Amino acid sequence: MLTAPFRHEAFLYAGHDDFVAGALAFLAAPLAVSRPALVMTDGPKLALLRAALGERAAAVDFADMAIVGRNPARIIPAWAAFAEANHGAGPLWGIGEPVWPGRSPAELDECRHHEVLLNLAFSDSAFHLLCPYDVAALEPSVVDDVWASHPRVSPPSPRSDNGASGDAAHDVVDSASLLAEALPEPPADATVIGSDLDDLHGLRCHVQRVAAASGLAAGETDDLVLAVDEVATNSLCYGGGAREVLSWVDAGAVVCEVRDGGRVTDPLVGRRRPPPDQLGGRGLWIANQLCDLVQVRSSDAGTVVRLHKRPALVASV
Amino acid sequence: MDNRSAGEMFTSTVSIDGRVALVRLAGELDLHGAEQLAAAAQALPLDELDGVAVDAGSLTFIDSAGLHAMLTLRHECEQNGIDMRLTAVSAPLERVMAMAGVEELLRGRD
Repeated sequence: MLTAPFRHEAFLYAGHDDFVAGALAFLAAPLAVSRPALVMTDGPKLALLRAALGERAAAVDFADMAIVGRNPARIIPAWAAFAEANHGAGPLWGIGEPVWPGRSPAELDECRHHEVLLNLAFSDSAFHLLCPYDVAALEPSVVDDVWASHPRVSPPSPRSDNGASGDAAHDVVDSASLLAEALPEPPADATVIGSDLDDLHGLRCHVQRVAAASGLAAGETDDLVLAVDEVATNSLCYGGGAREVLSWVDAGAVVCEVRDGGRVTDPLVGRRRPPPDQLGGRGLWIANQLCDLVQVRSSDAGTVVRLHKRPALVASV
Repeated sequence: MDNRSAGEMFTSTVSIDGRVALVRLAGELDLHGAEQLAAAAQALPLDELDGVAVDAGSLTFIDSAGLHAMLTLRHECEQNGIDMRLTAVSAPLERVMAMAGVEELLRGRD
């Protein structure tokens, strides 16, 4: 039987002890053969796992997923950097937990896309990735989604309808379908802040006023201004038809949306670090570095890029 | 369409000192500024120069379209066998270079 080199498995656990036991079992393989492993989850679970590993923790890399994965579109580049740094000497192992309680519906959507896109990004890589999901803390609907993105789910499913049994992989969603998914409509109070995108300076001033008035700090405002400028510039260069920039506030985040009649076809757009000697093509990459969430959708009807920026420090009332 | 202050308008000022061209960039280097910079770069007599020194210390804004124009100038210098050197870097340029991962390329390694 032909086995894909990328092994992408969801790990359903309940509570910290269960997480640590599963992570230890998974890490036994790379530790036994002295191969690199990277674990990305929240700080408390990283600390528990380090303690459980004891001296063996020195052979494992750790990163705080709350930082790396604040924007889920930055997780694939983090795995790619790990793969690049350890290229050439055999398979790699990783544990990555992109979903945690408190993620907004928009973030959960992008996490779901991220999980599907991993299958595309690493299809040719000898990479064993375990994605823990805390079934005791997450909504059942969020857990249900893992079967659509992970060819393997452990422990083996109690379900009978997904066709998976033992170590066999099941089919997952095709990443080509993701861009065509619709976003929720902007709220009724969304404001049009730009239509003549040719006046990039005017658009930047407008975004700056909206962001500052909505409570973003100066640096965060600069981030959003640059991100909107990048996406509007892409629209000017590649997007056709009617262009429009909308803005609104959603649960404390400032949201700016650039719409045009163009078409984006690469599902991994903005998730591959362009090589230094590449002259252009960095717009969405930069937007992903600057924003908490970037949602790209594209179909025959046109392209929508929705940028979210949250204040890091929310004043307590 | 433009009601920018002098500090926001993109300018590129070229002076030739011996066999080195000094290019001073100021203001906002976006897609429109990038077109101006490309035109200014086109006018440089690269085949008669030993190097190009770029003072980007007064750039108040730069995006990836602006960075593209700077990388293109660097590429053209390389094609002519000469160096492009950054003599000053503003904070907005620093930030974009870091995100794009081109810091080493543009600054040179010394």
